[in-house]
Amino acid sequence: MGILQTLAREFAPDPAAPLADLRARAFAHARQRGVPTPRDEAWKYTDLQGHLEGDYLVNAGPKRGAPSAVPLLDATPYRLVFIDDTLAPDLAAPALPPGVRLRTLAAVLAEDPASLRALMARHAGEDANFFTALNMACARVGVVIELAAGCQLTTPLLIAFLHTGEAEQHFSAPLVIVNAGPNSQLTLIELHHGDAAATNLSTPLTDLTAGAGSIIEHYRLQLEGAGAVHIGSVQATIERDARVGSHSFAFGSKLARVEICAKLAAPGAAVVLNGLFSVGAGQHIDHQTRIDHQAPHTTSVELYKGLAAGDGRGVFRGQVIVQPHAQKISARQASHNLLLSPFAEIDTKPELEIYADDVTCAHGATVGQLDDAALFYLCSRGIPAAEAHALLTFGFTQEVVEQVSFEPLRRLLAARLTGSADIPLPERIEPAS
Amino acid sequence: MLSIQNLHVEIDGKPILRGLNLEVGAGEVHAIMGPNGSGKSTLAHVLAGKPGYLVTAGTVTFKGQDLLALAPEERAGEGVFLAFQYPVEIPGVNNVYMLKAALNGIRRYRGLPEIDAVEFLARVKAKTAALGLKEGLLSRPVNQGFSGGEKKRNEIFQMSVLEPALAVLDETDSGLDIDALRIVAEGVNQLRDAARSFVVVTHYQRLLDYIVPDVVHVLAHGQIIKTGSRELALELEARGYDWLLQAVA
Repeated sequence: MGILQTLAREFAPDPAAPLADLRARAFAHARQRGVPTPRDEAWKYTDLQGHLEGDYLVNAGPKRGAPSAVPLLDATPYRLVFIDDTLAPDLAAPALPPGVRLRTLAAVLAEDPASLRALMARHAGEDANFFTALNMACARVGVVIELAAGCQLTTPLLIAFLHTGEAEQHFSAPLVIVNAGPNSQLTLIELHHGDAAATNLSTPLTDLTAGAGSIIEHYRLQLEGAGAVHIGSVQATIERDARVGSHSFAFGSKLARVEICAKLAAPGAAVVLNGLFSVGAGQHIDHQTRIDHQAPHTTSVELYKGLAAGDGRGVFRGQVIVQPHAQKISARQASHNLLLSPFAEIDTKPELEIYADDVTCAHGATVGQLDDAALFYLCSRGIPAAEAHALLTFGFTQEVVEQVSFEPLRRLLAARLTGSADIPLPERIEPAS
Repeated sequence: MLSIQNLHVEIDGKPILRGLNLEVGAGEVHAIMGPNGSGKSTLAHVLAGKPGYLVTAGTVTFKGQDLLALAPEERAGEGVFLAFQYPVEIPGVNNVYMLKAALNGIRRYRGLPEIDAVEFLARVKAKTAALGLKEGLLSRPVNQGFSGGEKKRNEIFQMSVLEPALAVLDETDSGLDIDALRIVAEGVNQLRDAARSFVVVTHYQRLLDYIVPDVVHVLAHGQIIKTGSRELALELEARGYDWLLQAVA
């Protein structure tokens, strides 16, 4: 039994249900595409064989367990929490400021399904990949966030998808939709968290539209359980003079993959892709990023750092596409990786496709090990070897971590990376405006 | 305090130290001088426990303990400090945080509680001022973007915060202008007391004008070939090393 068979059995769209036609089409598209294999260039380093074989529960209904300690809940006054695909009203946020409209996907499906048609058609279109099509066919859980023109919400809004070990093997397809109106501003934290015993399969999709002059800071934190499979996607469209900061931090699950695509659709659009993954024994984490410079005078800055210990495996593929008329763009990409064990592996692959001739592009990729001279230096000062390792590893990730403006999140990352919460955080670098 | 007997050390099969003997008593300052390639830095590295050196014979006893059996951090715990000739840059690790981790590592090794944050900061501030270090350097990553002189001052700053029992200074004077040299020497002199010992490795006698040694040794071909008082250093300054090397050969 695998996910497709399970879904084929369970997936019987009610013709009277909203969007049934699009759902059916999306599902047919997913089936026709089939589960990707390493023969597919985009899946060269990530083999799903054997990872989607569970007898998954689909839309299991309102049965939820009690999650263990979940980070950031206490630090974010504005939040919406789903536990095992069920809304947890007791953990919900107080009212948001005027100009911010937050609705659950269920509410939108019930009240205003037509508003989702264009988005669904886009993500389940002819060139849609298997997992986005699957999400479009199945998504019942999620949120729709809309910001009115000029509305600024700089206190982070947390959207959390929590998975407990009590639930049976769950399949979930969360959907997060953000529409930031002109000159609005939003800081969003998307948390995927699983208890140690959780064995869920999660295929979240996040769709960000940054209207002209708007700013979206999107923090994606993947802390799924050790038995989970997580295959997510972030699709951002960035309009004139708008800016999106995408920060992806991936630590959990046995197999995880995140695809982050940013379309710089109009002049002045800018994106910062900032990422950090850490894999340990038995883990595989893959990041695929794609920056599409569709318009002149657009800017992208990308920095990904990877850590691999044990027999962990990390993958980074960074595509940058500069369309023929997209002159005067600037694209910088860096992927730096650290192997902490002789059995670990990280594959990094920059791919630049540049069809314009008046552009500034730079890229660099490295895979290295901890510096023995630095280790000796720290130990000679009295720092035990294990702590010196942790300190150097933390130092390696600093460039990424210090770009996080929300201090509780920076602390969480520092604590995860060093095993200690007592780290003086460097002064934050203000993003260039 | 420190007793080195018949020390033989190889790197990659190549003998560097060949039967070195050295006795350093509590409160003494010993200068190790010698031409390039004589084994001065090897001696400093072996005392601190740098990997890559093979001790093929001999013993190093520190405060009655077999120093060679200890890991570098344990040696620091016992009170050994090496001021590096080439201090290492450590991106992303805050200078003061590193120092606090070091001090607490040493304190844990000695069974002491971690240092109080206020007390630590007060100590750091006092030492910073004494060494004329810009406070801005404290919160920067370790040695990153420091000038050569700032790196050396940072070594002496770390030493003065960690207060070792035995400080080994490996060519701390190299690359310093005369003002920086004076500041570094002053930092060392402030720490001199009846219980603390120094091994000052240097190519030039200039440093010894400011850090006045009790004993001067000449190291050549992996052995101490001559030991004398401060006047020996002055003689070396005037006459160079060749006369000594010829006399031994």
